[in-house]
Amino acid sequence: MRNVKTGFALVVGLAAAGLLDPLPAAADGLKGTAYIAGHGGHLAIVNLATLRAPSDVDKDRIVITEAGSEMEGKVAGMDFEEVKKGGGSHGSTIVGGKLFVGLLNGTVVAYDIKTGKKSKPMPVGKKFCDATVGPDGNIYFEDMADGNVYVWDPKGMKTVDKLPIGKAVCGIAWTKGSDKAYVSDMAQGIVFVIDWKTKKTVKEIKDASMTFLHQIRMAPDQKHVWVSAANEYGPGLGARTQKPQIVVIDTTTDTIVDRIVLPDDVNVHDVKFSPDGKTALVAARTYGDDSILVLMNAASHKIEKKVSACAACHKAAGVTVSIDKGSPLLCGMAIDWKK
Amino acid sequence: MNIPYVALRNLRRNAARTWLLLAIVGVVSCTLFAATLFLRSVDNALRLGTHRLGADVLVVPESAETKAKAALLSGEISQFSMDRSVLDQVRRVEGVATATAQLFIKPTKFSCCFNVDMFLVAFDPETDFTVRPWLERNLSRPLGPDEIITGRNIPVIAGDSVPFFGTTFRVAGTLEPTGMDFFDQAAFMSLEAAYRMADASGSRAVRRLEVARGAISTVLVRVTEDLTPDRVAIRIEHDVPAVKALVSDTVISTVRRQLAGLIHAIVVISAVLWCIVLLVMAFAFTMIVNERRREIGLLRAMGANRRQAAAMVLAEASMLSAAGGAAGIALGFALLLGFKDLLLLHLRLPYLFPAPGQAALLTAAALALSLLTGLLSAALPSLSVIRMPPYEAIRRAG
Repeated sequence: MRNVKTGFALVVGLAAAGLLDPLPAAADGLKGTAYIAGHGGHLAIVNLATLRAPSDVDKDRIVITEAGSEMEGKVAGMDFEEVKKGGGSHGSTIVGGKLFVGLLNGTVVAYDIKTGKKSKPMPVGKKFCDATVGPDGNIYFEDMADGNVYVWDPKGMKTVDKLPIGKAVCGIAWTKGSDKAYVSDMAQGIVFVIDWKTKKTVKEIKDASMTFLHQIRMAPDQKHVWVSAANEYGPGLGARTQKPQIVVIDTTTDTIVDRIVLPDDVNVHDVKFSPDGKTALVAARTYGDDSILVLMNAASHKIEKKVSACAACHKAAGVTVSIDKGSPLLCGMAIDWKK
Repeated sequence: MNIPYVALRNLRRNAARTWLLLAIVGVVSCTLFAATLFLRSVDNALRLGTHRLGADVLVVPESAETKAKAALLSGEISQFSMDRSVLDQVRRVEGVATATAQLFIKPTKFSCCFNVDMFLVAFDPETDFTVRPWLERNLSRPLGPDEIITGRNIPVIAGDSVPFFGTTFRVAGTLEPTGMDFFDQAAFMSLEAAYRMADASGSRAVRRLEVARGAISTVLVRVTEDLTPDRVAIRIEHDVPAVKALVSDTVISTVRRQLAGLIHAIVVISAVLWCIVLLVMAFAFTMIVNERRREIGLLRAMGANRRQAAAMVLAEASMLSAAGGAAGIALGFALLLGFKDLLLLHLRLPYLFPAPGQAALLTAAALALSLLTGLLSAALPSLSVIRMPPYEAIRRAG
């Protein structure tokens, strides 16, 4: 009896100290490769099984283009200083074994993951944020400069259409059945609800908790969208007024039902979910010397792991970031869950 | 007191100063007026030309994009073609309301009779919306198989005969000027007439015209109301291989954007010049008032009231600036007439002088600005005149 009591006390004590986790973490057992796009014009590669921070500048990254910054050139139709003549990667998606990367100069580059062959930049829009495969198999590129969503055919490698939605759109997600789409507008802090049949905006979701938005993702339950509200800027691109958070919208009522407030160093830009729906993978900026991949329990919203996406590699290679005030900034993720 | 008479006399008293001030106002007026008139003429031509074209989108062979833009904007003659099947493909694209084909032909120059750079445009009389409206308004009948319509810059009149590649055509009429060489230096015929001309050129012409029956150079498109031209252009480029869809507004707005830079520079320079003129005139009139302190004091002592004394100064300034403005406007006109062709050759832009009403409005505005300059520059000196006690003015001047 004494041994049982001692053992029980030991377990309680260890659990209280956080040294004994009674349940396996949601992030355990992931298998896949995450490609995280950054302003440096290259994508960091993270093996989700090992969660080893990329450190080999040759093997742990895919170079697409030269560096750039999202806050230079045109944003929402407004002119900002041009530091570089475009470049910088921002969002990508995988179709047929190829990464299709939307760049900050509005071009698209196709990269064959197997062979490493890269296409020439194809002019499509003005400045791309995210790239998402739509229900029709086309890739939807959201443009931060002119507010259009460009629909691109990855087979014919041609633009199919251009949907005028907002001023600086960044992400798109569809409901199951594709009756509605949700488009996040970065600079305006608005989520546009689009009737997908008519392609007309039927509602604008605004909230004080959404001042500067990034990607948007349908949750595994197919009933909610998670909006990356990093909120680096306040209303009208003014000083910050809100903490970084993920805003959850119920797609049945098109209202906000939850706000997952994040630590100050987790400025969420993209969220993707594991195939089992248990883990949310969050690409986040720290605005320090690193950007990170955060693994969060999708149910409890507890942050379970943080993986360096930039600093480990930069330090190993002796690289100093010269743009974006010296902070390596990432944005969108593409995840290949097969390998 | 006859204020204008007194003001004029005062101006004549110091002729050198008067002429110098007049010249300063004249130079600024000339610069501003000539630049505004030139840019307004270019904009006029772009607007009329786009309206005349009537098309929202122009579909051309992918390899001919640059040539097509040059033809549209600066009337640079070029010949390019694609198969007529492109027209049918374009008509099937979502968002296309109507589509019509045109063929561009570059004729040889006729140094003996018509030393003009012109080109031939063949259109489909059944579906055309560029030339047909003119035909319906002015000819009230279809164009005959051996008839052409010419642009305003071609030195022919209705009834004249003009040979092209061995086939003689009769001029049925002349289009109104648009300022765009694409229209003003073109001759329009039906597509069938062009194909027959090409077929016959082998035996009749010095040089055979190599145009296949059914070849077209461009498809002009009008879009449906639910889609914007740029979205239809994207669809056309996606659905129809090897073509480029040029949105008319985008081509024109690109030129306008380039012009905007020029306009911005002119506005800044003119604003700076105008400020300088204002300051120089204000300084000059302050000196004038100081010089004539005694005279003004005497006038006041003899019964002229403050208002009359101030009005005299303002009248001098107004006359000077109005005369300078008028001279500047006249010089601006003359310079524009003299250098317009050189400018257009260098800038490769369309040009159409504004309608008389618009030109008159611009002239009036320039004159008004000159007058305002005079009044503003003399405002402070005339205030000092109002405040000047007559006795003090006479005593201090002595």
